[in-house]
Amino acid sequence: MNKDRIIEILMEVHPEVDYETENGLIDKRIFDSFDVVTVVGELMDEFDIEITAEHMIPENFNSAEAIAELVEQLEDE
Amino acid sequence: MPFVSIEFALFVTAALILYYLIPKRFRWIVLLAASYVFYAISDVQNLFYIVFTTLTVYASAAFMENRQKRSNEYLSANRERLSKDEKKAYKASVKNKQKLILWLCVILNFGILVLVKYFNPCLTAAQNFAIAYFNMFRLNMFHNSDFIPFKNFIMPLGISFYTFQSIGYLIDIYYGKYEREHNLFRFALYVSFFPQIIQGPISRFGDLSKELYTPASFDFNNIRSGFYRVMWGLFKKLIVADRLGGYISATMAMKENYKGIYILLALFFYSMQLYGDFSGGIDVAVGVAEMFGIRLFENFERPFFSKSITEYWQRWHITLGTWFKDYIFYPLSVNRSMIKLGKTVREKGMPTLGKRIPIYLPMLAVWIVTGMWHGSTGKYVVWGLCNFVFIVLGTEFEPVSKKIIASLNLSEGSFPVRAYRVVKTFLLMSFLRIFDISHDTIAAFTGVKYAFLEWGSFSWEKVYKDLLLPKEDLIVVMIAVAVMFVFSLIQRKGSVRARIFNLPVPVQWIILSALIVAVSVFGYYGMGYDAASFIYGNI
Amino acid sequence: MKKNLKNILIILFKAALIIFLAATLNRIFMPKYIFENQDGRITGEYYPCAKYTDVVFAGPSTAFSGIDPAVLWDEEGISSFVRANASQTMWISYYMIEDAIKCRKPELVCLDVTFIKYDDDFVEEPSTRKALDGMRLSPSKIECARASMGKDEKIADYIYPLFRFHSRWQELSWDDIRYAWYDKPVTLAGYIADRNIDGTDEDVLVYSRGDSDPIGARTMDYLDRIIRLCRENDIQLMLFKTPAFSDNWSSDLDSQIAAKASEYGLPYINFDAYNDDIGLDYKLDTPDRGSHLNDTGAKKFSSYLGRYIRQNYAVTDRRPDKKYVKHWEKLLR
Repeated sequence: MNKDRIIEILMEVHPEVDYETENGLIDKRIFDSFDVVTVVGELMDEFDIEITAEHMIPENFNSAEAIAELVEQLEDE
Repeated sequence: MPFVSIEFALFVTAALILYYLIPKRFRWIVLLAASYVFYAISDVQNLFYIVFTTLTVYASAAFMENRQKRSNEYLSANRERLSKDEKKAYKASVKNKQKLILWLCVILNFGILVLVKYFNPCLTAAQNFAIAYFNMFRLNMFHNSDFIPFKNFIMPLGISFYTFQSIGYLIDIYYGKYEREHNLFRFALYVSFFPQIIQGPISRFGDLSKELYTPASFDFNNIRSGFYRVMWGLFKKLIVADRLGGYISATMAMKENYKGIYILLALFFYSMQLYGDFSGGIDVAVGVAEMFGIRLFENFERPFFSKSITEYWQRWHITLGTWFKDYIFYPLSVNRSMIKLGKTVREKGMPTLGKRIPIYLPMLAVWIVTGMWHGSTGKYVVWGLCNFVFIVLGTEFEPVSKKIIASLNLSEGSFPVRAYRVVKTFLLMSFLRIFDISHDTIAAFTGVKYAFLEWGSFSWEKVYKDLLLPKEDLIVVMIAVAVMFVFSLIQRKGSVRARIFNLPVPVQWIILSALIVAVSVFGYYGMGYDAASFIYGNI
Repeated sequence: MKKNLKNILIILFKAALIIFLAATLNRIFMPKYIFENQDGRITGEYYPCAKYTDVVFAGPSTAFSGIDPAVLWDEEGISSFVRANASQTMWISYYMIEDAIKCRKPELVCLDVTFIKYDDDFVEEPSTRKALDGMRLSPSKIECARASMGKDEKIADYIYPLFRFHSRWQELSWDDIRYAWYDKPVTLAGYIADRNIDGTDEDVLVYSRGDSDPIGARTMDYLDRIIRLCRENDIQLMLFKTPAFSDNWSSDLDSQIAAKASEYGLPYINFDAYNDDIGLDYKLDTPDRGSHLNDTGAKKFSSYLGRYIRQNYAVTDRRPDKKYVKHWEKLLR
């Protein structure tokens, strides 16, 4: 369920990407730093979580799947 | 004890022998002892500063860990009793206490750094201001020199590097990235490891601790490989960098008379000098560490082959860049207030600006701090700001230049486009270095103006004779730079040393001998030789 | 076992090769001191002669241009060597004597004090280099370098002179390679003949310096050390001044040296006073208006000096000794 919501957020930034399959959002430079920070802001609001500098590594943002895992992990805390 | 000295070579040799003679589990003690001896030799006062940083950071990390443990115990003991919100509030209060300690320790240590680094320049500035002020009212109360009533602070060896490294560690502990080092002396080694103390790199605990505390067996390949690396560093530093200093300072000192190409040449040479000196120093540090079987993080990745300024700064002094990114940029950027600010602006009908605020504002902060890192006078801050402006311009005009390239029917990966970007980046970055080689901001701007004047009057004879770069030396520099260039090209496809070690042994010997001979003969060191002074005339 | 031996031999071979290459490189870059500045060769040329040297002269350029050991050998059978260099300070003389004693204890040491005026204020790096580049590596050499170094100099530059002379790459010539391992003597037991004539009519006995002319503390200290060194080793010591007209001499220096000598019960002789006996003619016997002696002057002075030594000191006449005869024949060829 989280993942669907996350894809919605991502679609607002880059509608042209197929988030179900794409797993190189950062590595392939599809998202630049502006996009990432925008997404982080939306995620924090949407899920009431605290994303901090320590989570800002490419692996956490390369795919919708990875973002969902990060959100899940942060919701548990 | 400077890196380039017989004393340092002997020091390292002695430490190496001791290191490999001693049983493995004690080897880190040799490194710690060597590091502290290295410190004490340069100035015993240094020890006070580094011990202070070691103790405060160690104690803060211990406090955080204890607090975390107690909190975990409390939470698991009261798992049933507490509601989710109560748990959250409790966690937040723990985090706040840890944060308080973190800030306290950060302020203490950076306070010392700022004090030793900026106290003297600030005092000088204040003094100049006061003198100007009194002169204005014809009150000649102070003689220039005896105005400073305080003892000058001596900048302790490597304080910037070990302070950054220790604080980075503490922030990581705060984030819970890894477990703290419980042995105070082992931690002291992480802070003081001597090869990286003068010029970096700034290591991370996660990377360095594994290398420091779990020593490799003696392997001659490490010694050989490290030695090559050290010699290569000396090649860059002694043959290229040190040879160019005279021309650069002479030109900038007499820039009224040597405008135009002379200044551009000075900027080009300064780029070579800075790269040779800095990356050469890092090569020595990494090479020496390698001889101990310790791999340090690389600090340079052929920065002059970067295609944008952003990329340049990801490849130049890498460990400082990532430090700023992790511990200043992201904490400011991924931050509720910053994100809220961006959102507010976006919702007020300025979506483009709103999106940029959480990036550009922290970036601005990082560049001001980067400027301050590089030097204690105002011109460095201006230099940092110029970098920031160029990066912003580069980012904002990227779509435009993409369009132009597309309209020329060139693809992004084609050679002309790549070459254009590399050359453009190199020229821009070299040009900004005018702040480094000018006395102050105003002199730098005058230099910029002069760089575009009187291009016709250039003559090599003046470079050879008046500007302290004789023709023979220029030829040596150019050949050495060409060698560096070729090596960089080869390096794109992997380690140059690995290739050398695959060659037949006699060829390896020839390469190593050539390197040693080049460094010892063409290195720019010592007193110089004036044959005339040897012709005897005295009794 | 066999394999170990092979490995050890390979390592030894490699080490020898490295040392040979490093030494060759060093020798290519060192100034050759063959066609000019020949005094730079004197120190090194002593070692092959050491075992035949009964008398060691130490001093500045007045000694190597004024004392011809061939004359001493021919006329008196005295086998000597001049360990002198341009502007040789008292401390360099001290270490030259110390180094000589370690090679072979001489019967007599003669110290030329002409340069005694110059102390710490006169340390010329090229002179130190010329004196020390030829000296074999020993504690004496290190101590001497330490005593002589200016503030920009480093001890490593003396241990491995390439560090000092590498910047000669710009002026390297084929001669530097051809003469890298050259070991034939270019001086005659430390004597460098100057055949130029540039005479003077002035009276050389009028010293030009002022009345009060104190000897520097360090020079005095090393003079004391030389005296003690010879005494401890039971070696005869003669203090003397080579005849020369010089700006560096004064009656005050003369009396200070005389006082120092009598303090230790040593003879000191200023040969300026014996000009007529020696038969020196400063119109002909000097290459530089009296500052040094030329070849003719040196022949006259050496002859007188030989007789003086024979009459006043116990020095063996080596003419009956075939080994010595052979050595001198080889030198004089």
